[in-house]
Amino acid sequence: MSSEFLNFSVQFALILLSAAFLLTVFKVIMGPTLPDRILALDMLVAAAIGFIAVIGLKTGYTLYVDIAIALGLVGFLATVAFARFILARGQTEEGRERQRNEDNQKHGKSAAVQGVSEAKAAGEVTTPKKKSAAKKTTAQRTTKTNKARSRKAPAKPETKS
Amino acid sequence: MIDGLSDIIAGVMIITGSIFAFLAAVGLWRLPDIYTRMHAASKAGTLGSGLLLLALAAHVGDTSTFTRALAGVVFFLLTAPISAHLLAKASYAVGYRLTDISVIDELKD
Amino acid sequence: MNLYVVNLLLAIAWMTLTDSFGLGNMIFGFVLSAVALSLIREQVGSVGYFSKLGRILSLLMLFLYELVMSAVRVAILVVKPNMNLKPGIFAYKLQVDRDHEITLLANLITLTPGTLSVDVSEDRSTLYIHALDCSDIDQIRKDIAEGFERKILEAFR
Repeated sequence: MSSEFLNFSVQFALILLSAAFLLTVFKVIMGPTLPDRILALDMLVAAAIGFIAVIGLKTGYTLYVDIAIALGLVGFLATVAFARFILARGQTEEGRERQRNEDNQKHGKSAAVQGVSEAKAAGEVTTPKKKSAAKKTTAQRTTKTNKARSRKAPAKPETKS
Repeated sequence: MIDGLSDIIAGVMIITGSIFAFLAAVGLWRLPDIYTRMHAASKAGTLGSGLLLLALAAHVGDTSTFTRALAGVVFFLLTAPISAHLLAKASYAVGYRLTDISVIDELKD
Repeated sequence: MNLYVVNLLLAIAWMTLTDSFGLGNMIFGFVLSAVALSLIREQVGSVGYFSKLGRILSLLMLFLYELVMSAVRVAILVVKPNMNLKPGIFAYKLQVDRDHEITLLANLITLTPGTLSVDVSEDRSTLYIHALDCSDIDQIRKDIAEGFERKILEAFR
């Protein structure tokens, strides 16, 4: 009787995990912002580890537990790397907009100042804490591209909160 | 007798674990912004897969699988808050906003 | 002499005597030698060691309990039709000042009901916490200060 219960719960868990997996995959595809996608990828790793555990329970084939641990490590490192990537890529359009408004309030609304303050704002935000040389160069690079982009087109908000 | 008991314990654990994992995935869709979604993924998701691994550890008899599954759980519990924290910090630093219904933001200045 | 080393040596001695070197036997030997040491704690001056061990264990138990509670609360929140969220970020003045204590506190906060640590100020005096329900910030602050922070201070000071 008890093994029947186990069989039932394994089936139940597999169905729920599949649903969770699908939902998360759709979130990766649809997710409006980059952090949303990264979070969904993190969640995907968790769901995959859950799958491995349930399959191991069902078949008694537990070799994959090692893979689950390695997968957890890879998922963690991927999330960390993505977080660094978000930091290095610089500000969102919305964040830049806000920064510019604050700067305008501070310095007065002269057009000549705006470019400089914008460059300063982008630089400030990308390197507020760690002052390594490598990060500074990325900040400068993003500043340049940002400026080039904002000259071409008016700032379009890419985030949806 | 002991066998039956471990079956039932493992069954209950995988049912609760998968429910938590599923609700974490639902939370990813239902919550309004990245910071609140992080609550769902980092807590319910971690507990979900942790419970599933623990169920495996409780059900499989041999020591090596037990220790590996346990090590996996500990590792997961250690890394989940770190990655959530790092992601939140990065998203805030580059200007992803809190949702409009947020009541307070003391990090702004 | 470090009592932890003594404990470990006794565990190894137990493993050698029983001639089995599995992990289960090692844990059993470790627990056994800890019990033996606790019996003579007055004589060898290990009272501090055991109360510290007890406090770390109680911190661990509190952590596991809070993790389960937080997951349950988030899960309930997600299935509710009307979520009624009041999210926000608030500042929390830290009492702990060592790096590893701040790390531990931030991690514990992340895994507890409705709170997620977002940032630490540059001078390490303030922790910025995102909470799902900011209707009563002072209560959350009090919970953290009297729960985790006190336990961490007890366990590591």
